Amino acid sequence: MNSDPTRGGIPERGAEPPSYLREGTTVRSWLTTTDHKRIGILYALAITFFFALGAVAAALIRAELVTPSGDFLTNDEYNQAFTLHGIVMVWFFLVPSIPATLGNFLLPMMIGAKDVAFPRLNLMSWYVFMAGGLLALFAILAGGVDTGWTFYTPFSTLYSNSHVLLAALGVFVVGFSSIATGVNFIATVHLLRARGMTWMRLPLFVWAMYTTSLVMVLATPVLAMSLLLVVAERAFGLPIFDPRSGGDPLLFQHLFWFYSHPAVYIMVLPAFGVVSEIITCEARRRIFGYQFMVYAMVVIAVIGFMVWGHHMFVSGQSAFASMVFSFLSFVIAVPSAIKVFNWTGTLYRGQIRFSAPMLYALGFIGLFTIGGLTGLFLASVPLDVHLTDTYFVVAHFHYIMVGGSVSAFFGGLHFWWPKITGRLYSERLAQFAAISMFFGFNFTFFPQFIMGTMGMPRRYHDYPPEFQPWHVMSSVGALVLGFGYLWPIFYLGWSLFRGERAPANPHGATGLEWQTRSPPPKDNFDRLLVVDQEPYLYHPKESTPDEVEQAHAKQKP
Amino acid sequence: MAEDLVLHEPFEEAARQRIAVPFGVWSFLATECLFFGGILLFYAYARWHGGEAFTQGAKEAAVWYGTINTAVLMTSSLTMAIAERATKGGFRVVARWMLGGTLMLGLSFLVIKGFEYRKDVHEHLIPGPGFKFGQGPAAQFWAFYWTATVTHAIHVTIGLGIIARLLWIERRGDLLLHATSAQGGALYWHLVDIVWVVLYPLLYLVGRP
Amino acid sequence: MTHEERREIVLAPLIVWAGLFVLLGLTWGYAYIPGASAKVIVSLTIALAKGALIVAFFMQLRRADGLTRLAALAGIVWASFLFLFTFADFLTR
Repeated sequence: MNSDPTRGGIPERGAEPPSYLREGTTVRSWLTTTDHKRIGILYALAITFFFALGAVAAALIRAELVTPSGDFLTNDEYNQAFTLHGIVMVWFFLVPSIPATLGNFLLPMMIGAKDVAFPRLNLMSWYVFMAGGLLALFAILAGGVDTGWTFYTPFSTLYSNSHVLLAALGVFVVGFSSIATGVNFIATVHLLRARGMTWMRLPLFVWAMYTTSLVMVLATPVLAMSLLLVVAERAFGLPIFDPRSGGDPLLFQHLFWFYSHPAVYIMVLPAFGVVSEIITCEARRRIFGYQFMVYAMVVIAVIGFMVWGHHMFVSGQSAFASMVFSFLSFVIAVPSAIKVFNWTGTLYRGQIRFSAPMLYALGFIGLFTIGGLTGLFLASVPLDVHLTDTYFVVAHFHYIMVGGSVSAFFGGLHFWWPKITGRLYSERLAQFAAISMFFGFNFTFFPQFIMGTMGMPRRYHDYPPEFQPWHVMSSVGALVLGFGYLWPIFYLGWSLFRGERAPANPHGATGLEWQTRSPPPKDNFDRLLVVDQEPYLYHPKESTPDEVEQAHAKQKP
Repeated sequence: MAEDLVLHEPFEEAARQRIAVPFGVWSFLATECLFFGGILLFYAYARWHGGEAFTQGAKEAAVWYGTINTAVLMTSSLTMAIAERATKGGFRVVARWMLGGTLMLGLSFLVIKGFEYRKDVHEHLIPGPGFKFGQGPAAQFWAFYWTATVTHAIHVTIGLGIIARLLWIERRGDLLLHATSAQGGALYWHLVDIVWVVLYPLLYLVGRP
Repeated sequence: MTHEERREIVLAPLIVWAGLFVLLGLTWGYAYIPGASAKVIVSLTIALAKGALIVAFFMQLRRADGLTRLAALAGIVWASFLFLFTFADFLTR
């Protein structure tokens, strides 16, 4: 492999093919590219736009909640703001965030392939994503949607006076881009691994992408059908969920959550992958319990399909079903806990570098643990009856999705930034961003746990004055969090033009993606790869005492 | 057996690519299975919950149209299967005629469906104002009928588009090099057939004496 | 076309097609027998049999490699999760 460190990332003219960034620089060359790396960047630009859009809605919500009376937004505007926030953040930012950007960029490189299995399908998925995004955008501009991101019937089909059809259609369309990405990744992992890259040698990021893709492929079509049924009932008056004809609104909830609970794992499994890569590299340790990390992700991907009913404990679902779903929700906490223990185990006796990606990753572990444990509260039926539809729920899923997934996304963005752009960012400024994001996040969402247990319901902008201190705390925290998100734009943007050129492997990492130039050439590698070792060999075997050497540790009594 | 194949970018060898297309298409068909699984769940609920009143609505379904269409679509599956095998075996003329036949049968399916829809509309079988049965499980049956058959018809139309593209490739003269495309298209067309085969008893045989 | 090829390309699908038509006749006929029992089960079983014929022979899953079979199976298995857990609710209300 070409890893002459003296030459760094500067492509030498004539001698080797240019980097993927220099392979055509026109807008047309970008919009018609089938290069997985460029498509990853197209996705990154698109989701950054949607992230900003969702963040504006969040800012409106937090501004409104500073005072107990609804004096900044009207009732309708407030409903539209949180619906916009939910729809945009879930389907147009979080679901595609890590898989479509980092996943697209890294997955083929990590397994030593030239590209994904179906490159044209990959480009098409981006256009489908944009089409769905435009529909949703159009729904917002036309006057917004007020159903919440869940589109619950009968409100969405019979009563709401907002642009439900457009928004539902937008989400329907964007689902196909998820499916296309999923099928593509699964086929890529199965068929394009380099010689010697066996399943148990795959980096955990690849396993994360693989399991995420499984969930995407198997869950998204059910969402598509449930939205199609909403459209049929709303636009054509066909009585599907309408109780007057014997329909059951809970049928919609079953269909919707069959997708939307696994969707949580679509958002968090990729984060697991990113964090595993960062922690091993920045602690200079082999991952603790590689096989269990793999099995945990597979089990989460499968059992994740059998727990959706814990969203419906107070909906009128049968007591028996609630018990089954509650039990399975506890079961799925086990593999998640295994992962947290193994990351912590990886740190033990490591040589930890507190670099910016590592700070994000460590923040992830803490926040994900809190989010996961509060999830157990909500999985328990009697507690959930008290906590359902309160800010406790809001805080819980933000700990998983923002504290977990978004932290990991930023960590991954920093970690692979030198590989993607060929430039180094300022470590100091990045550490500052990571720390402000961690603190800002906790300031924003921890008070919401407390409000929630005290009974503050979600989705109201008019609330009793005794909750005001908590809401003010939360809104001030959101300012810090907002800073944590904006700050990287400046130093990362700066690095694009003024940053030092990155060497091929600035972190001294073991993955295949680091064994090529930064930024990589269009075909990823200058020569064919053969893999003959397991991942994460940060310290040779037998180089450490038995109790630290995890692979064959002898148990001491 | 024709061994030449147009190699697409990431693949270094034809053997892998030859697995890739059916595998990719089958994965997509798995999503179709779940997609239609969603609406079949609605059917299962409505039939279980609606009981006799649901069956009452089903009595109005035009069994003749349904049965003829099943026969048409199953025959189109036959021609598609032959077309696909002929492509793989290198028999261009057979492949062309069989693809053309599939296209014709698919179109006749849509035409027959159109006549059936016309009859349904005449008999006020669209739930809503003026619906024959008023509110109730019978309306749910017809809600399922319209949603499922229209969704299926859209699938048929997409399938016809794929077949038209295969015919266009054949006209260009290199269908044999695109045997994997033919295979993918055929798999999709067969799935459309299977969906109809499952819908047939649910829609047309429920209300029989 | 050799004899072998003709059997492979034309004859084998034709036999399957004939089987499908026999099943279609059966399911249609059974629905019209007054008072016949288990009509739902019979009609659905026949639909499944027809589907199985198409999947195994027309779609050649019979000869496909394990990976492809796995993909095909996943759709059915996951759809069964949907039905199983939803009816776990409906049937115990």
